[in-house]
Amino acid sequence: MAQLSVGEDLFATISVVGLTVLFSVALAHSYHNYAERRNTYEDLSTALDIAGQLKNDILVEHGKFTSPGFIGFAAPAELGNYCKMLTAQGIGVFIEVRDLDGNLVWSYGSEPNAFSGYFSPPCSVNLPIAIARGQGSAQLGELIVRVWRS
Amino acid sequence: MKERGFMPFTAVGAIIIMLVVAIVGRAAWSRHERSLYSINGAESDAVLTSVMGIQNDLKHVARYAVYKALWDVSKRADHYNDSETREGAIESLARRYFSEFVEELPRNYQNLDARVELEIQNAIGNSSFDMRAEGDFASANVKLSKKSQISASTWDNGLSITLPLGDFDVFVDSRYYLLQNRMDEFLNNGLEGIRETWRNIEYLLAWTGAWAGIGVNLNEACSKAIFELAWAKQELDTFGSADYIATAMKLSGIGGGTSGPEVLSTISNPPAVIPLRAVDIEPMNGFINRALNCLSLASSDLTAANAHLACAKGSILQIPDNAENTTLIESARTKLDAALSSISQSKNRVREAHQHFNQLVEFTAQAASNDFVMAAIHDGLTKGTTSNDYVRGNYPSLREQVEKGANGIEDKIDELTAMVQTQLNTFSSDNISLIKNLVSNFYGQANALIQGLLDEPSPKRWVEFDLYDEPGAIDETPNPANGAVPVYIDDERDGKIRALEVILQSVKASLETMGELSERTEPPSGELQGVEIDEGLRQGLETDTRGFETNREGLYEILPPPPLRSQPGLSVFHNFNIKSIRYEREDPVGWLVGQNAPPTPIWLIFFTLWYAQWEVTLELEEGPIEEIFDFANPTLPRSHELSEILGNKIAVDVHKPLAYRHGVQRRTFSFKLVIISLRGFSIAQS
Amino acid sequence: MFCSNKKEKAQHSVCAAALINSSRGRGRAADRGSNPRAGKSPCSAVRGLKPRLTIGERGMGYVADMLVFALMISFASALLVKASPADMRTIDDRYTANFADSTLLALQNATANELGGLMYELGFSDFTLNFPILNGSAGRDLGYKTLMQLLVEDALCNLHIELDGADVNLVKLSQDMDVKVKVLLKRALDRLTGGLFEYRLIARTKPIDVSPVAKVWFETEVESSSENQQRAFSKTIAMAMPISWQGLLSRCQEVHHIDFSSFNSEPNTTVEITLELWPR
Repeated sequence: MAQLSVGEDLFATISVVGLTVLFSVALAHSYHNYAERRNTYEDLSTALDIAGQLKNDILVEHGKFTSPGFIGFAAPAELGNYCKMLTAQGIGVFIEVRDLDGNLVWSYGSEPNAFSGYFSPPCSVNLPIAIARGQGSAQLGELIVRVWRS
Repeated sequence: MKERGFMPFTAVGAIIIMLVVAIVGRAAWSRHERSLYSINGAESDAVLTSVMGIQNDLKHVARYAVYKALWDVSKRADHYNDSETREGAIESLARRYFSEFVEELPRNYQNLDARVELEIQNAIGNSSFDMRAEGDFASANVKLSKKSQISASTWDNGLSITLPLGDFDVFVDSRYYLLQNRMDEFLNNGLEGIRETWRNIEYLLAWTGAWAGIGVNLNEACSKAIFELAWAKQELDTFGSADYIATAMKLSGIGGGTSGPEVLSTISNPPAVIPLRAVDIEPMNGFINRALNCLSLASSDLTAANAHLACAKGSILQIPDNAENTTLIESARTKLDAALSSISQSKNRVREAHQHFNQLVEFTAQAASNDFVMAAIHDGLTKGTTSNDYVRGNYPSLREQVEKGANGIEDKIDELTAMVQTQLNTFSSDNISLIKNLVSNFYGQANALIQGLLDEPSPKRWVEFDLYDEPGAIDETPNPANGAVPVYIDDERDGKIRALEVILQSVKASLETMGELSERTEPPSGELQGVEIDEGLRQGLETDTRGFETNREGLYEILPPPPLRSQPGLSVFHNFNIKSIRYEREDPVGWLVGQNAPPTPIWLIFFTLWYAQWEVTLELEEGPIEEIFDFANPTLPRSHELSEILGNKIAVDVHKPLAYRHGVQRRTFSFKLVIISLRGFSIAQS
Repeated sequence: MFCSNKKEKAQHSVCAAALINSSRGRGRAADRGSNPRAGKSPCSAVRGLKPRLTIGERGMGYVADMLVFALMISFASALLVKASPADMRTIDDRYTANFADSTLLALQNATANELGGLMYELGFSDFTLNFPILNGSAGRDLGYKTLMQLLVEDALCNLHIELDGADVNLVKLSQDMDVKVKVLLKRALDRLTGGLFEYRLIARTKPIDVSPVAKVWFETEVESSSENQQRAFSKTIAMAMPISWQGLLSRCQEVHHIDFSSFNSEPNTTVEITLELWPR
């Protein structure tokens, strides 16, 4: 270090440190984006999986005129167990069934509060369904599933 | 800085680049895996959707099988004994049609998508359909064989889904159960309702003819029109609509005598029928009871007067011949005065009874202006019966008898009064023996006079008449028996209190007999109110029916007539032809003389009840049909040949309403028609 | 300026050291007022080695090194920016595909009465029918049928039968049904997609070439946009028509006098219903 001269060495040091800092910032930013995209993807994928399972299995009224994609007019009893299972896995879920005019038919669960929503923003998907109305009638509606990590 | 260990920046940069390349590579691998996951997810969803789509399609296929089975069974509903048998047939046919439809499905699905395989055990016995009602609609629970399943896989066979086919329900948007229930109601209760309506309308027309003086005119054309109307009315009551086109065609085609529109017009504004039992006989009985009461009191007064006279006589006879005018005579005088008072009172009672009877006559006269039944009763009270076909002799009117009787009684009472007065005058004589002789004679005459007034009357003469059986009591011997009624009062000399009582009581008895006969033979008022034709039906019957000579049943399958009422929304078709109508007189005169003979008289002394009785029988030709269509739900996709519309044989697929067709087993309808009237009427039959 | 081998590196180091020492010497000479080595390369003073680098040459090397370093850092940063753990397009695609699947299943179950119903009139206006009383009889109310069932029955009631390219189905009673079904489906799909997607729904039967000149087919289409989108997601389901192929062909034979004696395959009487979706 005694052989170092002040002029070019300092410049070199500053340049390198500056570049390294820039690189670190880029790395951090990149990781942030990476994590965000990964979380978004996984949340959306989870939401799609959960919505699919609800639509095809949990919410279907077995035995009557219904079939996958054809759900009942009220939340079935099995939904509670399913939501508990998701909660145990650290997944919060809020389910709404609305008709094509946007009127709420029924809902289940509680929406995430602002605090937990800040750290884990919910992801929402909606899929078309048919809602049983009795005596062979069914109306079109949409199943809205909101998912977040608790 | 030492030279050894010095690393240039480029080396560091190169190391950093290598690390970053590793990170990027890892991220790319991770992205690849996630993309694969998404693609696999989408692929599995697509496979699942294919499977679920087929499962839903099987429901539609089952529904079409039920549609077809419902149509086949409902079009031949009378081939089955009861509803359970019919349901069993529907289930069996649905199973067969389902297996026919399903036979092609595995091949069809696989042609469209090679990944999909439908395995369904297609023998008929491997599936079952269980029908049940869903309100008025039908639904079927379908059970497939346990080995039936749908399989699907991804193109690379990486994922395979097998869904066993379980039970499912299908909703059928045709109101089979409504049609069945309504038809059962029509066949079980409705046909009887038709008979009653027909009977009531015939009764209405006959009653109007009898009382209005037109005469009772029974003819086939009129009866046919009435029967058609009754059938249409019952259809409307049961199904909410009628085959008004067919009825309108029949009514416009019926000729001779009273035509259909005229019958319709009469029924649209039915006259108010006043049965004889509706006559309020209480006021009339009131007058008669008051008169009878007065006569009873008059009898008591005369009896008391007789007692006074006996006492007076006894008092006089006790006086010794040599006695002077003593107090015994005074006692006798007092008795005679008392007798005079009683006698005077009895005369007033008789006069009062006469007045009550006159008030009865006045009452019927006043009512006669608005009520032809009361007019007939008034005539019966005031007019006598002269000798005729069924009465042999003259019977004086009741008013005449009461008047003569009352006058005669008053005259006799006046005579009695004069006798008593005369006897009273003799009491002023000093000759006791003379008084004693006179009082004995007097008492004998007075007593005879009083007893004459109080005695049971003996008939002056008898009036014979034909005694016919009453309505409904016809036996095998309709010949009349010989009846006779006594005449007690021909002139004033025949006046007796007891005779008047008998006459007045006979009036009461006749009124009560009239009420009983009416109760037994005339229909209840409530039934007759129900004959009115609904306004909607009436308008339907005014339909222009030109062009409907075509095959109506085939036309109705594709264009059912709009129902008259929006609920329950059914259209109606019927097909029947009347083979014959018979009218058989059952009253004695008709039986003995002929179909057009006058009615049978029931002579009730002061009026005559005329009645005629028929057994009316209608017979339909073989094969009457009743069919109803679910107009509000024309949802069955079926083929139809348009020959009845276009004339040539072209088949199209259209949505048709479910048709429920049933033959009518009952072909004979009959009822007894009894018309009673206080006026005679003519009878014509054609 | 890059040192390609160790020997040159060593020489360079020696030259660099010499450059430093000479600069120090010049500095001391300047202090003493003499410069015995001026004008001579310091490296030439080292016997057997290349001449020592001057200060300018060494600085250039540093600069070059740093520039390269900077370039590498930039490249690395650029690589990092591009790094992504997931392609969001695939999840969007998955959602679109899922939406298409769900839409088809929902249409298979939803009934028309909850969307305002479906009522149409049989087309008897072309015929001079003298039945004024039956004016209200041509109406058809199919509210309880599912939307897909309506499509299938529309196919049945409006089949095209062509002979030599000309449509021989002269009696078209259910054309109003075809129009109303399309309107109903468009209304349903517009509300379902809610502006997120463009769509095209096609229902068709596989044309049945019953003879060289005769063909039976059906096709209808409902779309929100007529553009052809390359990135569309398509899903197809099959639904059976309420008639067997034998029934269909025998009707054609009876009514349209088509000879099927040479027809020996078993045609497919299902209706293919395809839904194409693409994001707006």
